[in-house]
Amino acid sequence: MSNAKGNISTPDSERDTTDGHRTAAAVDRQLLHIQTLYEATRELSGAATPSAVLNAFLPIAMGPLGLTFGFGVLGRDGGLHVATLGLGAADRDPFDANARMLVDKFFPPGGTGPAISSPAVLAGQHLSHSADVPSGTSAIAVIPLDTGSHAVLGFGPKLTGEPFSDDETDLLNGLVTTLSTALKKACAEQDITERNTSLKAALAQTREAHEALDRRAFQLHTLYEATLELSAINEPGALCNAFVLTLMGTFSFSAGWIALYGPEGSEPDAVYRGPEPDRRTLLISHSGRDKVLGRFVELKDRMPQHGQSVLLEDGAARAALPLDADVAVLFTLDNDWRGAIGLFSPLSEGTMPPDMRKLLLSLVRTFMVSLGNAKHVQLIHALNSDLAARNVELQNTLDELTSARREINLLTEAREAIIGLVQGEVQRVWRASWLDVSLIILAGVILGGLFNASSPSGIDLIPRSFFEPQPEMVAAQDARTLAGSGAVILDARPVEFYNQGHLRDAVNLPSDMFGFAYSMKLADLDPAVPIIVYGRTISRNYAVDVAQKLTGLGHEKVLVLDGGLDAWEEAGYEVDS
Amino acid sequence: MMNGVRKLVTSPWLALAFRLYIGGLFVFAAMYKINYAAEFATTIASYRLVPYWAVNALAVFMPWTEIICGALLILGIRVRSVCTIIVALLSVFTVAIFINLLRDAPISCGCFHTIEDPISWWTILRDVSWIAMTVHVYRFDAVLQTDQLFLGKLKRIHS
Repeated sequence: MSNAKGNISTPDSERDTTDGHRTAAAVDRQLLHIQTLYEATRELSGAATPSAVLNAFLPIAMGPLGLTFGFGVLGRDGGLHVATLGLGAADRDPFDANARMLVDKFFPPGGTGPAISSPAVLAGQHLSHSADVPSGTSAIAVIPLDTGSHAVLGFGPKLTGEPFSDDETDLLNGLVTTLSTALKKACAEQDITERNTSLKAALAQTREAHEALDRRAFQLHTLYEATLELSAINEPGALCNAFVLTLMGTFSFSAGWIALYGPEGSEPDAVYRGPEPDRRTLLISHSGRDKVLGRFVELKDRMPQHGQSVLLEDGAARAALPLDADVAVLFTLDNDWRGAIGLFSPLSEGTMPPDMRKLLLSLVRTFMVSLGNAKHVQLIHALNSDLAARNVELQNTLDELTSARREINLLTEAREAIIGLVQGEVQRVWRASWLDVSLIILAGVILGGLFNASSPSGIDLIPRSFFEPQPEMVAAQDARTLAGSGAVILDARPVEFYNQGHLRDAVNLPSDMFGFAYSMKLADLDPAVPIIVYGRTISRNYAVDVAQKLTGLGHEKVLVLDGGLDAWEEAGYEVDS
Repeated sequence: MMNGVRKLVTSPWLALAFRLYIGGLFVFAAMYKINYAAEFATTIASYRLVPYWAVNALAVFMPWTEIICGALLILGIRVRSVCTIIVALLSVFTVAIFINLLRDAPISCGCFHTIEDPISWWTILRDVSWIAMTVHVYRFDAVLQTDQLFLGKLKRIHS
């Protein structure tokens, strides 16, 4: 284009074209060329794709130049688009076959050849004999677009058979440049369109993935909530009740049930949530047990093993369960316990999608783990209770043993004490013991006291005169005076002591023989005559005894010699022996 | 000869004879005193050693102690304790007689009856011989004891 403009504004051509006609013809050609370039630019800008641009370019370029045929090859991302115009079938088919070779000739794969950075046009008669292009080709244009995209165009000879003039060559260069710009634009638009399409597809995939993630998050959240809720429950019945409610809420069912069967003879666990609560009895009945376990047998190889669960797909099998079940799961907890879960009366129509089925099986697995834990906890509680009872028994046994040991110790101590006591007593037998001596004396005192108290000849333990009023006492001098005035002196001691020594003129009147001696010696004595009595030892107060008896017989003045015979002798009075 | 004498002197059978003799003697002596407590009290008083207020009580209690001791000695029960009591009683009697001999008191012994020969040094000798017999019994008596019969096996409890 710039070259064309240069040709139009060249001062040499204005000087050379002095002829107005020639000048007008040149101006017309220039105008035609400009119009051609304008038309080409306008037409090519409306093409949406590079191939459409190429298809549209050939008639635009061939018309103004008067070319017999044209062809174009567009290589883009490993693909080829071939466009021809004016070629006969004999030339078009070989060209279609050799199009790749033609492109590779100018743009070798891998960039091994010389780099072509801008559009270029080759023109000349030598091209008409090239094997790579149709015969008669007069010009070839190569257009690099971008990495991996390029175009090769070829044009046949002019209808006039003349070679290209400079103006035509410039026009061809301008058209090729326009084509290059249009192809680059179309390629860019196509890339943008393709990328936009891929972006939309990626966005759709992202949205789908997001929705899938949302569903997955919901499932995981449900699983987490169920795990959290179930893990806090340790009682199988409460666990089943909570789980069936969880399933009903998660999968939008208005009724559900869980039945759990243990070894033959054990009590089944069953939970039913829905209308007619009495239907739970169907689950815990023998027929209910047989119906559920019968479904296990029907599964044969698919029978769930320890810790496994199976979704019951067969409608007939679900109908054979003891209670309704639009969705049913059979599970095996361990070797002894199997169970079934049923959900019915859905709140919304439609079948359960696959991911919800997976969620259901995941929840059932979680339920089985929690149920197994609850069973274990129940077993541990039972074992703990049994252990506690055994501990109590053991403690009682220990207490009894401790008590028995204490008793044994006490008995041993008692035995030792008894042996020591017996030994002491035995030893005491063979030696003199103060205890024995005391006991013998005490026995003598007791027996003597009892015998004396009961015997007619018993005596006073303490002499009676000890408690009676003492008679009047008289000193030795007064006694001697009284004796001189006629008083009678009595010696109350036994006769043996009287014979040893006594007061002069004293009459012996022993206390032990008072009655006999009194009647013999003093029966005729006047009661008014004073009587002086003496006789006392450490062991007996004979004088007092006799004086009291004399007073008792009526003697008016009975005196006791104070100090007795000793006082008399100390006074120096006479004593006869 | 000496061994024979020693064997004879230390013979448990001689101790048995002394035991029966002393036991019978005390039983015999106590029989009269028990029945005639008043007379025995007079006898005690005649010694002039016991306080006025204790004479009657002693006359009542002592004969029973004597008869119990005599009976236990004959039966062989608590022989050594009984011998201790008898030796103590005989010693008291001997001392009392000795004191009254020194006083030249005209009293009888009163050991068996109220009316007896007056006390003399022979009485002292007799009581001393009884003490000796009792000591012999204490030291060598070992046969025909009731304690041995009933309590001998208890000695072997620990063995």
